[in-house]
Amino acid sequence: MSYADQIITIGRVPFSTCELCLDTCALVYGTSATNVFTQSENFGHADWVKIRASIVNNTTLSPEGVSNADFLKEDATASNSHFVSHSRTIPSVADYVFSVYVKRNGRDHVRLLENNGDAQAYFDLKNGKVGTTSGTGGYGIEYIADDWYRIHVIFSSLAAATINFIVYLADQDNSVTYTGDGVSGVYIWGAQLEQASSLGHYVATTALTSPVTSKSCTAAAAAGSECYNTRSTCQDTDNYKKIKKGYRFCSVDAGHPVDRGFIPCIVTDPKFTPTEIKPDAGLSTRSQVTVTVRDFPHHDRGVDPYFSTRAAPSGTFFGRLIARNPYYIGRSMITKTGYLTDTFDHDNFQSRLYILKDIVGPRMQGNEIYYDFIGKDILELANNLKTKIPAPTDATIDETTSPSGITAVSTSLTLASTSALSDFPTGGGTIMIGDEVMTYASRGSPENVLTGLTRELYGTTADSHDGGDGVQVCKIFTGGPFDVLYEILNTYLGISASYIPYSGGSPEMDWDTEQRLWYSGVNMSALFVEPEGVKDLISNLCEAFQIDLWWDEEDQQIKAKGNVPPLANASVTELTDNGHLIKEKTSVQAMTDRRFSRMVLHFNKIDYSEDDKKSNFSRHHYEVDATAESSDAFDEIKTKEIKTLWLNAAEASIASQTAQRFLARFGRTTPTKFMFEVDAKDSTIKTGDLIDINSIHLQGLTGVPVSTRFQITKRKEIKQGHSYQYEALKFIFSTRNGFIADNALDTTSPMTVYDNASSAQKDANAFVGPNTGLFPDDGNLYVII
Amino acid sequence: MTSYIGYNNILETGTVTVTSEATGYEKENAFDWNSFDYWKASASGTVYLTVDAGAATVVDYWALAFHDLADNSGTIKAQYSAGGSSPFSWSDLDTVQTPSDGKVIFRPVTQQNVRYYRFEISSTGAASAIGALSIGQALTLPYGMQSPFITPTYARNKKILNSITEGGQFVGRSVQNMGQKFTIAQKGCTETWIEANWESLIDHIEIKPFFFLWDQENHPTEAAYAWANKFKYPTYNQPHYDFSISCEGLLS
Repeated sequence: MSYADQIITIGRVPFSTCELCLDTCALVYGTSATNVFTQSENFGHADWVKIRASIVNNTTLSPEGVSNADFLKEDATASNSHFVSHSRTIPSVADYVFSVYVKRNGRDHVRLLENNGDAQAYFDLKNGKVGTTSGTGGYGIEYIADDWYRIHVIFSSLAAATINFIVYLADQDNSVTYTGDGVSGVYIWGAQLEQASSLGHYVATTALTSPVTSKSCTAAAAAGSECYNTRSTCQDTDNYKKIKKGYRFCSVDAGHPVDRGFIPCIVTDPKFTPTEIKPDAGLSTRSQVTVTVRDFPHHDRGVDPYFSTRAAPSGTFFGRLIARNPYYIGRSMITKTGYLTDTFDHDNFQSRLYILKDIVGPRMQGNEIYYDFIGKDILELANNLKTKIPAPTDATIDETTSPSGITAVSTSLTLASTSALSDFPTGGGTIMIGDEVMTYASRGSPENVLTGLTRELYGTTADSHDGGDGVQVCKIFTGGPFDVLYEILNTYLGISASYIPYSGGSPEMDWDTEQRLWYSGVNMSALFVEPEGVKDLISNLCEAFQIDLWWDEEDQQIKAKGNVPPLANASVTELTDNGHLIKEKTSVQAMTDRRFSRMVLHFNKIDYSEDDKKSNFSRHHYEVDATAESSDAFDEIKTKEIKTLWLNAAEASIASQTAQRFLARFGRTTPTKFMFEVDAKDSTIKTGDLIDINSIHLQGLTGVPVSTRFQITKRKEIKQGHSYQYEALKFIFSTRNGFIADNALDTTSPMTVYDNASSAQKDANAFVGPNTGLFPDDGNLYVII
Repeated sequence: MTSYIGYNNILETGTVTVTSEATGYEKENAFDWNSFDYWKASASGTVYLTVDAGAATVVDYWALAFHDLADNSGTIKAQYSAGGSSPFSWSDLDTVQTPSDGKVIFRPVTQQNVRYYRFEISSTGAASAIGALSIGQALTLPYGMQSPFITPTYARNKKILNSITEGGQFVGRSVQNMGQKFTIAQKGCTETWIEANWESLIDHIEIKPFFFLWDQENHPTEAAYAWANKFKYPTYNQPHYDFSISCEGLLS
């Protein structure tokens, strides 16, 4: 039974888990290891033969925490096997260990096999168990972190021959022959073949020459004085090899799973502070989770790899864990809330990913010791203090070769040798010295000389600059707003592309599709001359283009959506008093302080050496809702002003579009917030979704409930696995809209004229209307936006 | 009605060896009284966990909790051997048990007084997890459970949440299982019994969990893995003593 099935079950049994993915060292103290495989992390390489399967390189975070794990994906071939294989020549009879890191992604089972003696073992990646085996000298499955396992098979006295070592996808235990679906498989990383009788630590390889590579831990303290395989306790830091280690905890409620490695110490439901999108105020607020655990004595087995050599530990589990792992901030924290069934099933759980922000404690309460794990969403990385764009550069005009600096007409300059030259692209770029912005055509010959200077750009004035003056590299963002957001998040904040659904996702949430449908033709060129906080830049971009940006911790994706209506064919869920809204948990609030009657956008900056004051922008778009301001209506003028560097004169139409969409939602009527709770069965409604609410609390003129469209701005699980609290903001889009009708896309029912089109076609497409202002059926005309 | 508390565990005091142990699933996990870790063999098949008590030691019960024998068509059998310096000719201490679920097992057995005991565990498909195993001398309570007594089976400790809509419809229910909650009470215990048993009992259950079987004759499968959370220490009520132990526990 899946999580989706569980939430609609009467009598479901909520349960929660939490995993801290801390760092550990992959090496075993004082030992070496070898790997005779080539390209151990690059399964797309020709050394790995793919049969009825393909490799998508670097699709997700590996156990190293880097986005370099591959996806082994089956094709759709019927009734056959799907695998990746590596051939090696075994020079003489010996024991070998074949291992690989794997994580399920559609397929829960894999098989490792050598095709000489056909020794093999199946592994269940969902439950962490070994399945059917034959002919092996041993095998094992070890949990790493974030659902990654390291699996291995020992081949005793492997024959001297050329042998294929194969990772098969399996549809169940002891079954590799099945019909592929073309999308499922497993994530795969770090394959190893080692001449040994037991599993050694992993050694990464690329294009090896004969025969092996080796990585050793050279520390050699006496038994009992080993490290704890953490960075802070490492005794051979030059060879420290970081990899994740997951510490898994679960609720203390009865029925926790046997044989899954969870420690029951979570004493209360995880406390979620959800993200809140703010369509009228830029970047969303960050979500947070707090998980409270109770400390306990622990024997150190499973934690300290060398526990058997040491005296029995004193203290407590978390006390020691924190002492050994002081560098926990910024590591992954995964909470799962879901349901227990007679047989524990990981698919009954909803996973949420956070960045560990802090561990608060120890805190005494009664006779117990407690700690709080605090996780923040991944957009916490967008911190003004941590990241600035452009990155501050320490370059200066070289005082040695140019003691008097450059004149107001110089066309080249020499940078001081201490400058970070890699900040200056060799193919040219934009720089700022003093109050002057200029470009250079190239850097090189010698490498610290910038040539082809074009002076006094972007409203600045040419001037002489002294030797020793600072040279700041500027940044110009180009493309559409979603392109720019992607670049900031991925390039500047280092957020893995796997968390950004730029393309290939659902049409509703795919960034590229959103940009193409609603921001077509936008090709901005936005210059930033001095380092500015990244959070402010993102927030201003979101305001200027009316984009909501937030972290969806369940989908583990950064979502971005414009202030736009649903696609015509997309369904919108309706919630009703009778079927969904929980008793005495609904309320409506008029947000008078968030209503504006005017919007002014100041854009197209004049002089980039000056501050962002209004007078330093040459374009000002004013949008006024005179009707709303009139004495017969709200009788109030309230102005929303935005100054932005993201729009230039070429984007004047965007300024108009932003202002119109904003006022339609926040000016014509008072914005309304609707707060409600639903049972877990209705919790598939997510932040950012549009919904229709039909409730007695939203009455029309005659007192009859009027179905009203809202956008979910906040979603909180308040009783674990049982009920969810929502906040929604009334959604109004300014006009009837549609995409130009294309008969070629609907050959069964061509849409030649409006009157002949079906209702669905009228919803999905725009038609040219008569000059009367209405269609014959009194429908409004479509508006090009 | 005969009620037992199983806390004496020679696995804690003797020398334990196993014939197979998967990496990360050490044998000590089987008898450290923790419910979250477990011993597991490196492969399915028949494996043995043997304890050398060091000298002849009385055993009259064994108990097991937090296992997945049923998932692996597993069986468990307790045996003993009277060897002097090494075990020989193993005899069955109990009949083989084939669990059909993960319930707690508490098995009073005919008393033996030998040095070596072992468990024979067989699994197919995958090795079985053994989370909490105990073997030793059970404490027989003087009177069995005295009414009123809520048995562990019926002492359900659950939090129930209902979802009712504005329109009055029932749309969902969640049940939070907080385990079982029951009280072991004895009135009229003799001073002799208290002096012989109380101190060693309380020394254990103040710190560690224990096994409990409330009615061997009529409800031999209704065993619990329990931990005490409140005590009413023996109160002298001339000429006898009364005590009670408030417990929480798990049945599986």
